[in-house]
Amino acid sequence: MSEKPEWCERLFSPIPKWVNWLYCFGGLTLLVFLLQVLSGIYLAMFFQPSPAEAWASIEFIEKSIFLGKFARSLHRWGAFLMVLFLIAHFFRTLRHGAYRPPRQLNWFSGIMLLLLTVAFAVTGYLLPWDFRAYWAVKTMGNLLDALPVFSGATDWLLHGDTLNGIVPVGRWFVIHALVLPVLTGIFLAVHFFMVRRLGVAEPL
Amino acid sequence: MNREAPSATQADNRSPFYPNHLFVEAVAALAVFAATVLAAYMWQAPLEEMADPGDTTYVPRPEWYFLFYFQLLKYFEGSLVVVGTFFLPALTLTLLMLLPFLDTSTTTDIRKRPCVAALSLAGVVAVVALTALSVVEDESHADKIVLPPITGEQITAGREIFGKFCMLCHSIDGKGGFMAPDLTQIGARANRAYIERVIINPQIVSQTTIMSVIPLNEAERHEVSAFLSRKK
Repeated sequence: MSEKPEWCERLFSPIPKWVNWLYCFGGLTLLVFLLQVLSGIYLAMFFQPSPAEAWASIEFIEKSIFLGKFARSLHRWGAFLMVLFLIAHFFRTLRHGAYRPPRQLNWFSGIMLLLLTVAFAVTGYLLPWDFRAYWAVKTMGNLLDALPVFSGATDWLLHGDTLNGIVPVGRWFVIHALVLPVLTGIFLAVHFFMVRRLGVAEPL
Repeated sequence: MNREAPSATQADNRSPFYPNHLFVEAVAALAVFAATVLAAYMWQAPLEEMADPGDTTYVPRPEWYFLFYFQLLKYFEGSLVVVGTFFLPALTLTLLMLLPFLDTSTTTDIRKRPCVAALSLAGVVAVVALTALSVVEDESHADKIVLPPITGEQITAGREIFGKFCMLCHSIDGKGGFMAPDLTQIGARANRAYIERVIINPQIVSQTTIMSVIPLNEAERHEVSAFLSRKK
């Protein structure tokens, strides 16, 4: 009798009986993240990451692109749900003490993913370069200015290198659409590798 | 991945991933997917006017998941801002990172881990309370001013008052002063209650604004806000 392939073995491998719907939140966060990637790629095809064109390109996406308004709304709702499921997953982990040895690396990678989600939310908020985006940058810059190390942050956030006075929407876009997804991919790989290796934590 | 073969007892406590748990995951995934698509279709993402650095009348509000932090920062002013912007987040992050080393209990029962339970509960209560407080404060500010319905006479009177007191600094439709932001489309960015609040106290926009309080009675203020709220 021939051996089953590895993916098949994994599919049929037994899991503890007490694994219930509370353990779905991690998977749901991944599902929503994938939705974010797909809708984000679609939006990025038409988005112009410059202060002069960002707002107009969003308006163009909404009014002239097939399913453009829907894709943007899907991206926004995806962000809401991603945060929601991440919080649920976080508290499930906390309740079951799933951060304790030998799952420390799982926990650290999870915390990093939480921080990356926050960074996604902040940078994504700024991209349309509408009133909300501008004043969010301004407020954030003012808060950072209160810290000795970050003094002058407003100037950097709003005016870039100040040589040409260009507001760095492009900088936010690169972080949002390139740097953060790569980092998220790395930490997701670590997270899943550890889940696969150690299994799920036992409840009460 | 090499795992040890489960013992007889362990095997009794196990069920196959497929179809048992996969079914639960699939149902949850489909439900979430359907809900996201439906929500995106029904409630579309807003797009406000293009950013205008010269207009300081806008009061930004973060998304719901940052409201608690937004509210928290209101309690730290002046030299204490650094506590809200740096020390509290850094302390929370450090605690979370150290949690695997701080919680050395051997049980998974949350009732037998009082420190973790208390801290988690305190965190949840604080976040929920601050979020609720932020929403309530926003709503109470909006409701503080009772506004009469807008009439044509109010708009006409408001235009006259605006021309007399406000156009020295503000411009509208290309006419007026240039010391203060252009208010041609102010109605698209701010609601009537907010405009009234700015007239009553210009400092709510910015502590450093040079705009002074305009000596208007309640009826005149309603007329100006009626006029400006229709400028979209």
